[in-house]
Amino acid sequence: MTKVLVRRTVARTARAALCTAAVALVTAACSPTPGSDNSTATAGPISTAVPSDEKITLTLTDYEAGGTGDAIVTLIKNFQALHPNVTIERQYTAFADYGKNIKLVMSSDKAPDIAQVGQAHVMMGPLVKGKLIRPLDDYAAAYGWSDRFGPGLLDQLRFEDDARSFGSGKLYGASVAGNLVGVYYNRAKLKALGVEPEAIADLTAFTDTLAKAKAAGELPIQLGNLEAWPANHLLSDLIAQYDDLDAVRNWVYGKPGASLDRPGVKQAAATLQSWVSNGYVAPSANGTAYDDGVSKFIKGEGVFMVTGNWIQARIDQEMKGAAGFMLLPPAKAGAPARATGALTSPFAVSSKSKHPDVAAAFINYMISQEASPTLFKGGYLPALNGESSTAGAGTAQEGTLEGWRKVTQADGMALYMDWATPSMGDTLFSEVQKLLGGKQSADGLIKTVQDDWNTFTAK
Amino acid sequence: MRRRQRIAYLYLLPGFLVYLAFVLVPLAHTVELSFFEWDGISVGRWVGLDNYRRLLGDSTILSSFAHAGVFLVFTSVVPVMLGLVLAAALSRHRLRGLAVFRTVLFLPQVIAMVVVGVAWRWMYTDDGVVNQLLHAIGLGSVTRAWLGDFTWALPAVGLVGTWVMYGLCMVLFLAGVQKIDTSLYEVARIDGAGPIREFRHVTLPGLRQEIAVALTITTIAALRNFDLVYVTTNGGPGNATNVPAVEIYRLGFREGDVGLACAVAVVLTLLIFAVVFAITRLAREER
Repeated sequence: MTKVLVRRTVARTARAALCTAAVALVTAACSPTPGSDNSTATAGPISTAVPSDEKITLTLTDYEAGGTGDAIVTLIKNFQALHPNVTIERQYTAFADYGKNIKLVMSSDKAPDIAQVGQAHVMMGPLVKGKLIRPLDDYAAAYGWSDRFGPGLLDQLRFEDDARSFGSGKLYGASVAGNLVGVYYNRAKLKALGVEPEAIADLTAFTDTLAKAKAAGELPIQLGNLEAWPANHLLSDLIAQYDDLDAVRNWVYGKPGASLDRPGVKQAAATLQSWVSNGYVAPSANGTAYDDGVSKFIKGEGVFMVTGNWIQARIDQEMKGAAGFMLLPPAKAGAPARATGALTSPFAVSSKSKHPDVAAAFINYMISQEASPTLFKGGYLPALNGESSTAGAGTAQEGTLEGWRKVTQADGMALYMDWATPSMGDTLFSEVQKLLGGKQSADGLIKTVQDDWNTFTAK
Repeated sequence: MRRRQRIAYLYLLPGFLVYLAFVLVPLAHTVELSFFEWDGISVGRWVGLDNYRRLLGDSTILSSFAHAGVFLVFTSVVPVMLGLVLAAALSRHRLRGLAVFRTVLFLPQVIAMVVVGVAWRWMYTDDGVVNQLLHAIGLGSVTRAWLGDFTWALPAVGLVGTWVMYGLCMVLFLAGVQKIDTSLYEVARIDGAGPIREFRHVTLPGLRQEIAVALTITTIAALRNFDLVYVTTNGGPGNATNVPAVEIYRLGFREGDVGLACAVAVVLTLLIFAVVFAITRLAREER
């Protein structure tokens, strides 16, 4: 009995070992080391002329849905009308899947010629490191792209070769528009409090208004933060007011020696903390989904809401002028305009593209004054210099347009803090959620976030 | 005998090849990747056991395993117990409309997890159904936005797991009860056993196999839980509901830390194996 058992066990073990060996062999045959090294496409002479004598098909992949997606489709159609021999095939992927796939898509042999690639380390960094997207400095110089944008604005699309830091180095894309964070206010409620939006000239006046709202039985700041990222915009917009802008940007870019452990950041975090403890921020924020928070603001719950221009279209459509948009006021009245904001996710050119000239020509078309009305109609916030789009009087859009112009003229974009490292989103957002829940101090938040930064930059 | 056995293996070959290609090879590949530092694109770097060392030193990852343990209670232990109670109650009396009860209680299993998650997310909001009910029964003081509460978010999501799983357990047990010889119940009753003794000495032993199956299914579901957490809280607030599967997703797809993500996956797989192995061993004992 035991003998049989033993023999059977031995046989079974032997078979298992054999299987394991087979598996190991198969795997080993695949790849001893994951990944591949792509040689840089040798940058040959470039041309800004689109050849008209041959049929050219380009592919473009992006994650613009709804109105902005329609705008891209229209631009493709218009460009094809200008160049009948060129066909641009658009491959749309929903944003939720896009980030997961983009590395695989761009490293495949049939990589799209043009791809929308988010700034910083989650998308652009790995693609730069893998040499899968092409530096565009030559085209930018030939077309004069830098003259079209506000000072310093294109820096956020630059990456160093080692992909450790960005904000300087080679240019890897161009963006069709911008986005920024600011304050939506309920006009009627503000009026009832006896406050003119123009009179809120600094953060002290803003905090006073919050106190007034609270005293009047209103919810001062509406916020849905279940997803953890929304409150981060509130904090970083405060940091943009209290801290030195260059220091913030250097930190986001990953420049050596940058640190978040500075008085301005501490003051911003402490301010947010005091707003929370005074009941100025929706107490159920951490348990309310972002969209549900927006819906509540639209229904009239909340005097203010601090978030990005991406909900402006919905606000204007559903509140019909009952809400306006302004920048978060500076710490000291009259200081230059600062805001959390950036260019939209840029379009980059694959280093495998056989037609970089045509790809660059299309990108150039997308960021031209000619394309601007289409983009604006699609809901984009125009980013080009000298852009003259106007919004209907009394809309929130008026405020977002004016805000963008003010901030870019002052070179005051504070960028997004979760860009700083690949894991910064997960680290920072949950820390802000803890701060809101009274589970983290300003100092503790700064330490945890800076630790993440140090770990990444020390690698 | 030998010849026949060899032919038998030949029959298994097609199935095994598919299994090899889609389960074993990816599994081995995951183990292999866990020894590399790799961002998903550029050439990886062999780092030996470094990822496992990082895993053990990372409080966020370790806490995610602790949360998985809590889910194990809510999604496996509690549903199995509830299922047993329900099965015992429903099997003892011939109820009219038993099929209706069974269907209704089983319903959570039919709904896609994402839908379940979204529905419960709404019910847990500060003005949601849960708080309305609490207000209605005079417990207005305990209402809160449940998923945003650092203490209550994990039990709140866990309870959804209970809700999804208990119906499945109950149906399994009801089927099992029907297979128990009714004469055993008769004997027990003649000997004067009450419902509790009858349950302990007839129903429970008779359901040993079903309990093992239910525990196995629910344990795996609990430990690999991704969609429910992802949809309801995405690991928040803070990291209060973070679980290994969400952490793997974050590390692998968002943070570009494929090696560490694979290491977490390997540990999670081993953990599931260990727990399931223990369950099957327990079920086999005393036979």
